[in-house]
Amino acid sequence: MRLTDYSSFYSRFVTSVYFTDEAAGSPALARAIERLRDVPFKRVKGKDDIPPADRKRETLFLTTGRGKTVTACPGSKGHLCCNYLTIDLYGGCPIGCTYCILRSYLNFAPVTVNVDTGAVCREIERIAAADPGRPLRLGTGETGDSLFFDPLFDLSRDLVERCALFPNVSLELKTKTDFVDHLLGIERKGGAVIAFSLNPQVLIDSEEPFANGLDDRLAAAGRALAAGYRVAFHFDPVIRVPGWDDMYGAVADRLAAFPAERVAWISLGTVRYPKELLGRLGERPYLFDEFFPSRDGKFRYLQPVRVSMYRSLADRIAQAVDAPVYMCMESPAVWRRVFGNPPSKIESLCGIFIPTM
Amino acid sequence: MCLYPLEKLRTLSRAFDLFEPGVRDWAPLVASGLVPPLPVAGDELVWGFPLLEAAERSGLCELACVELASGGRASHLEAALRLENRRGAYSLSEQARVYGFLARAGMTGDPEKLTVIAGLLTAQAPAAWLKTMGEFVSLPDGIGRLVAEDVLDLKTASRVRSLSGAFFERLEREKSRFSFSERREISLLLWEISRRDRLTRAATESLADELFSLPDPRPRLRVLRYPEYTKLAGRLAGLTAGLDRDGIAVRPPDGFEGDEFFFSFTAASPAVYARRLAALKNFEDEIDRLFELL
Ligand code: SF4
Repeated sequence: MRLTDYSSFYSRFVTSVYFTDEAAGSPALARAIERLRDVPFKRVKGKDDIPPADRKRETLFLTTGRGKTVTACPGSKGHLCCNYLTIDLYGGCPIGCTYCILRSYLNFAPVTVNVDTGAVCREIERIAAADPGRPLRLGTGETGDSLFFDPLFDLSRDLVERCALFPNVSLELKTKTDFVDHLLGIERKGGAVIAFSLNPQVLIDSEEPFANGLDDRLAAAGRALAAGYRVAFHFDPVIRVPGWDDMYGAVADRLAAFPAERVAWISLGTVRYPKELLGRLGERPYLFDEFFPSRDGKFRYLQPVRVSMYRSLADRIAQAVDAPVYMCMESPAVWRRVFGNPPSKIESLCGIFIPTM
Repeated sequence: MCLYPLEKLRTLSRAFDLFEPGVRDWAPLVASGLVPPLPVAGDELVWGFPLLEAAERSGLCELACVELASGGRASHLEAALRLENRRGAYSLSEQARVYGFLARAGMTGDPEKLTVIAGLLTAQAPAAWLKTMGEFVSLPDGIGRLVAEDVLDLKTASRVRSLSGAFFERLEREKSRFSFSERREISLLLWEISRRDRLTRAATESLADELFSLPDPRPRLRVLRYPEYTKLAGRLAGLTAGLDRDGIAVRPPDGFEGDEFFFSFTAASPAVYARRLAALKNFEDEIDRLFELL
């Protein structure tokens, strides 16, 4: 979907916008005011000044990042982390995936938007310049969808342009939307990667209420590719529903349409949740499968089940496209069983798993 | 302060009769004459219903009362709670009655009044208390009673409420057979199985019957709820049965998560030690199958 009428599209998701003094002069705020004509914008000292009635997902809170805005992905105890740096740009997300981990992390319901890309860029520059030979992966998609609100604020543009100055930096914008068009015209894309989370359409329909469909996402990946971006794909979470292997296999087959050398990476991760999230997940059919606590305390399918799922999906992907495939937050035991080695010993993954900070 | 005949007090409205009567034994105080005055507002007795009954039983004809200035029903409820003075010790049923009183008076949407009243009742924050009460009062009668009687906790009861009334009646009848956490586990596992397998009400009830006929239903429930894990554990037991007979225990990593098995044995003599080693040596033929379990 190409967004043209912002006001009518976002009116479902945004009913009020609050901004701090620091965010007041930012171009992102000006853009949002222009594009959300029917939404009230109010200035506040801080998030505590947002009235209780507006402390909800349909409220945006525009601010400038306090403290560190680029941080190492926290990873998971006993599990191998891909050494990713996360950028806090959008905190919170209206897509409403039933399995979303943010339900347990973010207790401040309004979506927080850090409009100060200057500070983020300076921080990236500092890290990138500190060791120019070391590949650096960072992304904005850990605390919310990278692109859902981006057509409104156009924040990713600054990051793409700034990161393009550093050949060792891969900036990943991860999304379940097809909102890429505002980024296509950026001249210097450098190592930017536009990444799409993929699921079979039946699961998108049942578990990802406000996400774009699979066809839209793959079409957007095609547009991003044609415009000169590298793309990436995330099969995460893989959910074991009856017939899951055929369904996911069919999605994997569609990756054959993408030239391998332009697919930066593909990640796999089976559905998982921390115990405290269970009560907030509602009653989804997939939660009645067998889950057991792993070493990091998160609940996952039994290890042999995961191993067989990963093997089957990785094989199917390999038949479609010869791109680096890794598993997100998996244990060394699973790595050895699926790929024969930990990632540090797999050549195609060296750039992905090198420690970054 | 003035004296009210008991006959008159008995005719006053009981809208504020919200608390369980047997919590305090008023008889000794009545007998010694140390009775606090009862608050009265118009035609309503605001607090002291069990005290009134104790006074009647002891043959008193009148009681000292204080007529409350009109401050509205919220302030009268506040006075009643202050006199009751049992913050954190009210049963869920009592709290639900207070909640009902607030709802009928249209006060649940008034943050100020709610904060005062909830603060006198519970340590929960007002919003959390409202949520708890909403959940509790929405439970069907039979299940609500189980929660009120501490047979099940509110969270579990809310989750498994779609189980049939017959199951809850059975659980109540047989409550003394199981501990609190056992009842919780039985309810949750049965509910999960019935949801997963989309069992009809009749099928769930017949499964519950079968389970309650067992001395401890939980092992059977776990097998039904976790068939894959059960199969894995069974395959491990089958593979290592010979070692077990030879005195060697084989333990998988916790939850079959990891890649190391733990072999252990004891030996009281060189001969036993040699036998154990020989058994381990023989097991080499099976070792690949063992590691394939992970
Ligand atoms: S798109 Fe991502 S951040 Fe948004 S709800 Fe879904 S899982 Fe959560």
